[in-house]
Amino acid sequence: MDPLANLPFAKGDVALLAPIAIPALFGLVALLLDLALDPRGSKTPLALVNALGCALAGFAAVVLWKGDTGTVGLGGAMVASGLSTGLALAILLGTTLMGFATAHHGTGAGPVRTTLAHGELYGLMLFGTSGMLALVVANDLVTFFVAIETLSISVYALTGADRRLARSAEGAMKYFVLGAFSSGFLLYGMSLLYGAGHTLRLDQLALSTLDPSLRPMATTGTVLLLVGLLFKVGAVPFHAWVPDAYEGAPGVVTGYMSVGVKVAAFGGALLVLEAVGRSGALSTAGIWGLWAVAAITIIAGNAGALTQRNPRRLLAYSGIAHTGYLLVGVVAMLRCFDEYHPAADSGDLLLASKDAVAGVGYYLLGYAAANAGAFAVLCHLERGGEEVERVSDLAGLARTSPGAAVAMTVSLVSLAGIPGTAGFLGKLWVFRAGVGTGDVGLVVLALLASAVSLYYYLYVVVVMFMHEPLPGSAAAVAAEPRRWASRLAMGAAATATVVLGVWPNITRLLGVDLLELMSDGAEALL
Amino acid sequence: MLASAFAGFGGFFILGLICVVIGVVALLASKLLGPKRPTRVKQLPYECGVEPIQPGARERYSVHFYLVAILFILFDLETVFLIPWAASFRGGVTGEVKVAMLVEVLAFVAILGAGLLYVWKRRGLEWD
Repeated sequence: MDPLANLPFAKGDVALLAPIAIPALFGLVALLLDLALDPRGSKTPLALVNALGCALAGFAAVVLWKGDTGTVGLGGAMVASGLSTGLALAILLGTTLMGFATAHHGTGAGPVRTTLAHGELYGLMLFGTSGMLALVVANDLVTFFVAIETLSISVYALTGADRRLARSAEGAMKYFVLGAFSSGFLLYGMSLLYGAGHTLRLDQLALSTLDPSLRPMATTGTVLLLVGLLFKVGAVPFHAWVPDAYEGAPGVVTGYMSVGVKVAAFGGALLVLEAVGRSGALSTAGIWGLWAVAAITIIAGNAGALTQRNPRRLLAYSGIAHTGYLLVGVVAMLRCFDEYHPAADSGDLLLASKDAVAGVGYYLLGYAAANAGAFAVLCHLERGGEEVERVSDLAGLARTSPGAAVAMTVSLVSLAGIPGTAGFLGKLWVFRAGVGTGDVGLVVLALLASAVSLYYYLYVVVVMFMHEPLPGSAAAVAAEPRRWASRLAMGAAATATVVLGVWPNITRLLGVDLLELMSDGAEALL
Repeated sequence: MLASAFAGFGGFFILGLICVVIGVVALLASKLLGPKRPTRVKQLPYECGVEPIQPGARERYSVHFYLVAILFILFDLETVFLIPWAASFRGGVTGEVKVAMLVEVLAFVAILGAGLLYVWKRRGLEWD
C-alpha cells in the first residue's frame, strides 16, 4: 500500500490556495525585479507588479472562493465563503492603492534621508497580503495563527523599514514587543480552547457540545483569544501601540497596515467568534464584556483624535474609533448565540445577526477605500522622505493641488459617515443590525461619537480649503507632475469610496455583486 | 506504581551512573595529577577565537552576525526538509504522487533560491 496515496490533496485545495499563493509569488517577483532596477530611478514597475499580483489574486478569489455554503478544503483547514471573497477584495484594494502610492516615495526635492528599499517594501507588502488572505479563510486554529503571524511579521518589519529614523525604529520596536506579547495570549487561548473542545477546527468547535465542567476553561481560552485579537484590531485597552506605530512607520506603510491588518484581523475575529459563540464558550457576560470594550473604544478613539495635530496620529485615533464602530457589529453578531437574550430563538435575532456580519464586511470594504485614499494623499505630498507631519502643512492644498484636496475630503467625509459615501452605508448597515439585536444604547453612543468625529475630520477639510498655504509647507510645494502613480491611487480610492456609497450594485458590471457577496457570506457563517 | 513506570529502564540508569562516574573520575584525576602552568590567555573564557568582551557584554555587535545566523537557520531548515523528502522520494512512491512531490520540492527550492539570489545581489554575503 502506497503510504502517500491518501494525501489530502485535490484540485479544490489548489483553488482554495491560489488567491493566497499569487500575492506571495508576485512578492518574490517584486523583490527580484528591484535588483534589476536603477536604485535611484523610478519604482513604478514594482507598483505595476504589485497591482498585477493583487488583480490576479482578486480575480482568483472572485472565481474560486464562492458559494453561500462555503468551500471546504485542505482537510478542513480552510473554508472560503462570500465573506472571504469580500474581505479579500478589501485587502487587495488596500494593497494595490498603497502600492501605487509607494512608487514615488523618497523621490523629488527634499532631503533624501530615506533608507527605504523598495523591493523589500513591495515584497513584504505582498507577503503580508498573502497572510491576510489566509486569515479570512482560516478554519483551523493553527492556520489562523500561522496566517496572523505571516501578516504581523511582515508589518513589524515594514514599520521599521526606514531604519535610520529613530521614530520608525521606536514604532517598530513597540509594535513588535507588544505584538509578540499578544501572540502569546492568542496561543494560550487557543491551547485552552483545544483542551476544552478537543478540536482545532473551527467548524467542529462550533458544533461541539462542551462538557459543563470544561466550560470555564473554554471561556478563559476565548477571553485570552479575544485579548490577542483586540490587540491586532487596536481596540481599547490594547490600543497603545497604534498611534506610535502609525506615526513612526513611513506613510506608505501606515496606509497599508491601517487597511490590511484591520480588515484581515476583523475577518479572522468574525470566523473565530462565530465558532466560540456557537459552542457556548463565550457566555452572556463575555458578550457584555465585548460590548463594554466597544463602548470604551468608541469614546477613547474619538476623544484621542480631537487633539491630534499630526495627520497620521489623527488617522490612528480615527482608526481606533472605527474599530469601536465595527465592534458594535461584532457584538450584534454574537447576540444570536446568547441563550439569555430576550429575543432568543426568534428568527428576527438571527436575521439581525446576519445583517451584522454582512454590515461589518461592507463597512470594512468602505473603510479600506476611504483610509487608503487619505493615506494616498499624504504619500502624494511626501518629498524626499519628508512626510506631512502637521495638519497645518495641508493649508491651502485646495489651491495648489485641488485633486489631492478633493480626494482627501472624500475620504474624510466617508470616514465621518456622511451620506453619499461608503462610510455611511457601512455605518447604516452595522448600526441597524445593532438596533435589531437590542443594543440601542451602544448604537446611540456610536452615533453621538460619529457626530463628534465630524469636528476633527472637517477641521482638516477647513484647513485645506480655507487657510492660506504656509511658506515651505507640503501643500505649498505640492505641484509635482511626475507623481502619476499616487495620483492614480488617490483618484481610484475617491472613486471607489463614492461608488460604494452611492451605487454599490454597479460592481455587477465587473462580475461581482458586493452587497450579495456580503449577504451570502453572512448566510454561510451563521 | 512508580516501579512499574520505570520498568525496563534499568540499563538506562546504569548507563547514566557510568557517565557520572567517568566524568567525576576524569575531572578529579586531571585536577590532582595534571601539571598546571597557567597563563593569561589560558585563563580567558573561550569565545571562538575572538577577544573576550571586557567588562560585561554590553557592547554593540556587527549586524552581520545576525544576518549570518538567520541565513544559516534558513539553509539549515532546507536540509532538514530535503533529507526526509529525498528518503521518501526514493522509498517506493510512483506515478502522480512522485511528480507532485518533485514539483513541490522544486517550488520550495526555487523560493529559497530566489531569496539566496536577493541576499547575494544585495551584498548580504560579504562581510564588509
